[in-house]
Amino acid sequence: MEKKYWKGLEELQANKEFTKAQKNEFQEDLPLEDVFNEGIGEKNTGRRDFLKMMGFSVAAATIAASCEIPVRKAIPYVIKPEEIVPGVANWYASSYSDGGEYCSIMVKSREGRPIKVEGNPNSPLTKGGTSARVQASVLSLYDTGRAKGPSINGNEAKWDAIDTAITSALVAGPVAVLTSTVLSPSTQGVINDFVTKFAGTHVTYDAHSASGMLAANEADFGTRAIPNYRFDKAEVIVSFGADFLGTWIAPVQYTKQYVAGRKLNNADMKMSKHFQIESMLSLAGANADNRIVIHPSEEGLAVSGLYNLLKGGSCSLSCKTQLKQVADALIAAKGKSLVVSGSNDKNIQQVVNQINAMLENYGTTVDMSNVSYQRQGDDASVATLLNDIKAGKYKTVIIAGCNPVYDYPKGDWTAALKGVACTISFNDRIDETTAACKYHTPDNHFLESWSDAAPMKGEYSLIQPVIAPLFKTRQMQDSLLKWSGASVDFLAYLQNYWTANVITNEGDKQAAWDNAVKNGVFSTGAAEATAMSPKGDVNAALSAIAATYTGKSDSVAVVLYEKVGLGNGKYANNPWLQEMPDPITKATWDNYACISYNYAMKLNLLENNASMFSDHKPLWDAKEVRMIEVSVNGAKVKLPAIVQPGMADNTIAIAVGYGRTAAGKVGNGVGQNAYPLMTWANNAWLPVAFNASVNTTNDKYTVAQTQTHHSYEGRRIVKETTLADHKQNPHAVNADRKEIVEATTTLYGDNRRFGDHEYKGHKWHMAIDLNSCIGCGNCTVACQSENNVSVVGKEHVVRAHEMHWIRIDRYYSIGNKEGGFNTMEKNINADPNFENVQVTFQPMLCQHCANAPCENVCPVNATNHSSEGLNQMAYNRCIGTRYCANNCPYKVRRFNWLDWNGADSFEGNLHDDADMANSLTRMVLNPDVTVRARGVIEKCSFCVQRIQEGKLEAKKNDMRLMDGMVKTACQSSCPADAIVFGDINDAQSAVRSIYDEEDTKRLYFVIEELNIQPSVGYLAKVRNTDKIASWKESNGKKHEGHEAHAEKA
Amino acid sequence: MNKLYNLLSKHVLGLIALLVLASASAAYAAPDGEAIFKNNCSSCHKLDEKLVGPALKDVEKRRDRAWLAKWIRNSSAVIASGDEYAVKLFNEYNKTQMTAFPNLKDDEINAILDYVKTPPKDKAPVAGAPAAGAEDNGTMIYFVALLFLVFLVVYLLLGRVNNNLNEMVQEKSPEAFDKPLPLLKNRRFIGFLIIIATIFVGYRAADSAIDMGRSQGYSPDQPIKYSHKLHAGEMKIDCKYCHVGVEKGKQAGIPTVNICMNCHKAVGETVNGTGKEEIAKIKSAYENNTPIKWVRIHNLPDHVYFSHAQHVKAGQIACQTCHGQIQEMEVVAQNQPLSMSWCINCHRETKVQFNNNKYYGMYEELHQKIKDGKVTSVTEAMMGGLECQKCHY
Repeated sequence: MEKKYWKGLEELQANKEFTKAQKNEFQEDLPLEDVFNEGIGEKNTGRRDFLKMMGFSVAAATIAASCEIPVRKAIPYVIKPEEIVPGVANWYASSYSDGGEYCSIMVKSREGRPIKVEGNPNSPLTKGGTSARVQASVLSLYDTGRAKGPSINGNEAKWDAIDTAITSALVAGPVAVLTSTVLSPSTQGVINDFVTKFAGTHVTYDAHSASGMLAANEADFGTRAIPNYRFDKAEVIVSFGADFLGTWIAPVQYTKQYVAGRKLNNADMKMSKHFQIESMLSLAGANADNRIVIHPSEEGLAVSGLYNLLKGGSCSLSCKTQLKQVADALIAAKGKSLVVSGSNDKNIQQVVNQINAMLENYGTTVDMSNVSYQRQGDDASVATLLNDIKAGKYKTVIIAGCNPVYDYPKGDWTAALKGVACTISFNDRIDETTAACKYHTPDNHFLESWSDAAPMKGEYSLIQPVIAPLFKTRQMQDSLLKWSGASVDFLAYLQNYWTANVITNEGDKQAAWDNAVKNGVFSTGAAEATAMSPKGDVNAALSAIAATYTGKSDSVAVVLYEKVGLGNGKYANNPWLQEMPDPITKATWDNYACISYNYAMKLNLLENNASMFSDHKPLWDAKEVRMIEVSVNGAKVKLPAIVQPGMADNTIAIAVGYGRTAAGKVGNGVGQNAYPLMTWANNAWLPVAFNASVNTTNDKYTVAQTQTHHSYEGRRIVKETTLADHKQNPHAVNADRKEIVEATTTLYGDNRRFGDHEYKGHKWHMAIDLNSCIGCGNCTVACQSENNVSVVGKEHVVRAHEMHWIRIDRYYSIGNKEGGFNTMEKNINADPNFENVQVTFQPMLCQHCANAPCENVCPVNATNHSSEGLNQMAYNRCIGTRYCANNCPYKVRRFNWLDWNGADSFEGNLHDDADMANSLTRMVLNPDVTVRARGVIEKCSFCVQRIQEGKLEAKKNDMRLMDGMVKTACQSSCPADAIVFGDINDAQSAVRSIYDEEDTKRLYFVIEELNIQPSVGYLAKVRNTDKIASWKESNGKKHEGHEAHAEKA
Repeated sequence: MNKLYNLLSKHVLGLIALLVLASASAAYAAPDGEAIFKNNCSSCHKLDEKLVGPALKDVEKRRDRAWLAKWIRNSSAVIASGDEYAVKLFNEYNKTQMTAFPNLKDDEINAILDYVKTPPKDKAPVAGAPAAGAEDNGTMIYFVALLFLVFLVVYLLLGRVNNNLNEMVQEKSPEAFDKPLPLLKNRRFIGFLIIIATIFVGYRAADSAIDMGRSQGYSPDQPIKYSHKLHAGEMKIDCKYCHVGVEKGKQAGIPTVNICMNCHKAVGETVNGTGKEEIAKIKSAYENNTPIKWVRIHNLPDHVYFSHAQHVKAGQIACQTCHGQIQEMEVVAQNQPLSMSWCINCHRETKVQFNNNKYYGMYEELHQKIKDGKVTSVTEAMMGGLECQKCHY
């Protein structure tokens, strides 16, 4: 029997509501009845009403028609800046650096207006990759929530007045400067000078810190820093709850490395093996080959268990058998393995250090010689600072880039700040913390600033302004320099710093500086990585772990995590991030309590009846879920509970970063603040809480989840295999495709690649490697930014009106490839918590079929086929019948139900939850792409504007279009290099070589059997695991499915 | 009949003449020094007198070709390198920066210098082909009008004859005829009239609806009475000198004030002493840093993507093709309808630079067809130039 893939439990259960809903392309009928009942259609609509309406229409049409064409002006520069040519984009290298997050970027600017951020391929760290937040950062520049200028106690003020007031206040006494991680060495210099001058202190505060790891490394190696991990060099990767692909420290950098270590090459089939040991399903966990689910109270015990097993000892946890396999794998890959932990507990990190040392990983996969500075926050000193402020030790407190009033778990920062005579905030808006400060001196956006960053020892990166400040803001560094009476501005300071400390070995300093500005990055060279052994006392750490982690898996625990899109909540006012579906839950615009199926049953949140598997009655209301109240030591949040496969039992996972009250129009009141649930232990805030209590309520809440939108009605569209099977027979994974190809060839002739069209020139194709795609969803935001894709707001996401041109379909499955568990009943009998769920991600976009079903049904020929293989969409022809969307088997066509971008043209006509329809935010729009009007269909265009630009570039330079001159937005944004795009008619193109190489191996087309001849080829996923299903088998449990598998084997 | 034959043969001859001219202009030639000079240099340099820059006669006696090439490509670099002659020259001309031409190839620079060395004698103006075309059009109209007249006369004559015959028959036997219904009470006739009227009104309505938003002939008053006739026509300043973006990007660009000032720093009035007021406006815009708000004439809808670089640089289309005889316009008017059918027509008819641009090398099948003689030239339409997403995305 075929393995079953499902997107949500409602699909697995095949509940009636779901089955009915997925039959319809549009989840709801048009509200025609309402309209008719309310007025125009009524039987008693009289002749007079008819005439009135008729008259109005004629009058309106006449007025519209008789309007003269408005006189438009063309206003050139007075003196044109040398590098600007109207209509031609300029690219500037810069860096995204916020808190500890870092990414080297290229900023696309049109007529002086930044509109798109791409990765910088020059960077040895991020190598051209980006994350969703990096992509969305350009929208934050045009955020209406930003402060328009400085203020005193909330009243607008002049910079001069503020400068005078602050300069005289500063002399009063000691100053405390509280910032998030400062990656910029020159900014650090400015802060150091400042605190020296005013006898103050500088404290670094990260909302979700790595204090524990920093403290552990300080104790073990004397360096308070994060090592440089090399996921690419590791053959075995073990992660204890560290979501290194999603949110942990430097996800872009780690993803690049991780994927490099897992790219399959037919000549040498090798890929790293990844174990993830965690309590909730994280993005890294979803990509792991083997996953062990543990209760949060077992986290420390699992680490010490592994340590003991590696030493030849024993482990008492229930997952000991699996841990033993992990230990065996690690020992076999000594020196080429890597163990990481996401815990903020110093003791756990010390044991992890010991494990890595025992495995001889220091010097190979863990490098303490070239350390990373990407997290510097110190929870203990923040706690001390809070007490000191309360005690009145400081006369001035300066806040920069952090928001403790909102995200500090416990402790009244508002009261503490109110007690200080002079409080200054540099934050970009009047957020929670700024509201408690006297002076607000807003910093520039990073796209308006000069600065630098040193993410790693020896690696430098520059930030250059690409636009003059939009508002009356001033760079923080300039303010600090000015208040301390320095004579230089920050640009001069920065250049001096670089001359003295960075480009010291360069002969021509000016040339070196210019080059660094141009390239964005500068390396002073890495030191040789050396083997090290930790000096810390491992036994003390082990016993401390035993005291903290009780291993009581029947108690209720809470795990707090950051979402891949929204992060720590700083960008809550960014609608692109709010609407980006979470990679795992596929939920937008909210946080919620993720619980396991079993636990939901236990809490009576589901309809449990005897015939639950036979009558397909919904177990819960898919649109409105029940809310639960979670309390930990007096802190309480009330959240909707959603059932999430892969969760540990008795565990609640909640995302932080929500529940902002002063983020701005978009972010205010979205979700609940979960920071107060954190636990203080070992001088750090742990993102877990043990011994939580839960009250169920009867309140219901709608979570806007997109997981079951655009469903395939169970058609088989993902393919996967195991590495062992694939090595043995690389053609096996595509065995069924051979048949399909033969059948379609017999029926329709050999037109698989080109269809019935004749492609004389280019023929655009895409290849997506499912083995590389980690499902981060970054491409969704990149596409949104490139193609002016609208944000619709929560209410409309619920109605399946989201507009994303590329979505990531996330499939769950349990069972091996032959004998899967095809029904909910079998699944639950085998694995009541869906702990062993395997996740497959599949980016889905318009497949540009050569024999496209959408083209045939358009009554006005608005969608048709180009000679280059593009399925074209002419918006101005579209009359909105939506037949095409109905007929598209991939469900990738989107309809504009409302005017998302121009709703402000009539006052009071705003359907604008996302705050995108205003002149400021519209500056982010790409002028080369039409902004779609209400009532038309849109979909992926293969970034046709980039194709046309590439062709023109080739013509202008009198050359052929070379492979790589055209890159789609999703392709260039992908940190995993999973997407390859190019001309299949070009024998030199990468996409052609993938097609040729993998034709009978991993390459397949989704629903190819329909003979729609898609232009997007997928490469099957390969899991580096021996048996896909029976991971728990060795644990002693025997399940039906496993037996079936055993029989077959 | 003889007359008709003459007309037709004239027509055909005209067409052939057009074709010959067009194909001649499309042929590839070695760099034409005169053309390059006129396009790039003539706005600042004359051969035998000082303009914005020095007179170029005997320039090679002053400096060698290698130095000149370096200077032409990037004069500021030469000045920055401390070259004595360069610095002196720069100071002599009030520190006016010469526009850099980094893209000029060696043979192009050589061609310019060859031209400067030995300028050819003045050529006689070539008779314009368009004039012949216009004449043809005129004769066509006369021809149609003549035909119409002939038919009208025939119709009236026949009607007269018919009437007479009818009257004669009626006189003989009046009972053979019903009393004819007055025309305006005839149902069929009224129905016919209504249909005709509907078609006519509908056609007019559709036609004017299609025309809505188009503004062929639009020539608004501009804030400065700038004359293309003077600058482009009489002074022969190359279009690209002011419209700098035309080969680089989407927009040709309205010249920025600093470009005007390149010349108008020195030129304050025309030779006749007119234009002082208008030139003063530019100077005041420059001095007060206030941009000039020109009225935009050519407006395309937002959902159309048009790139000047594509047409002028890659397609080698002359500006006049779309903008009309701009060098004769005192006030600029929109010359062409800028309608979609107009675009499409050109894509159907205009030959692309198929053999001159390496980009088109990938269309192997078409190249083969040319070799085999199946196709003589390639239009945009043959490469998908009529498809929606060539212009709409």
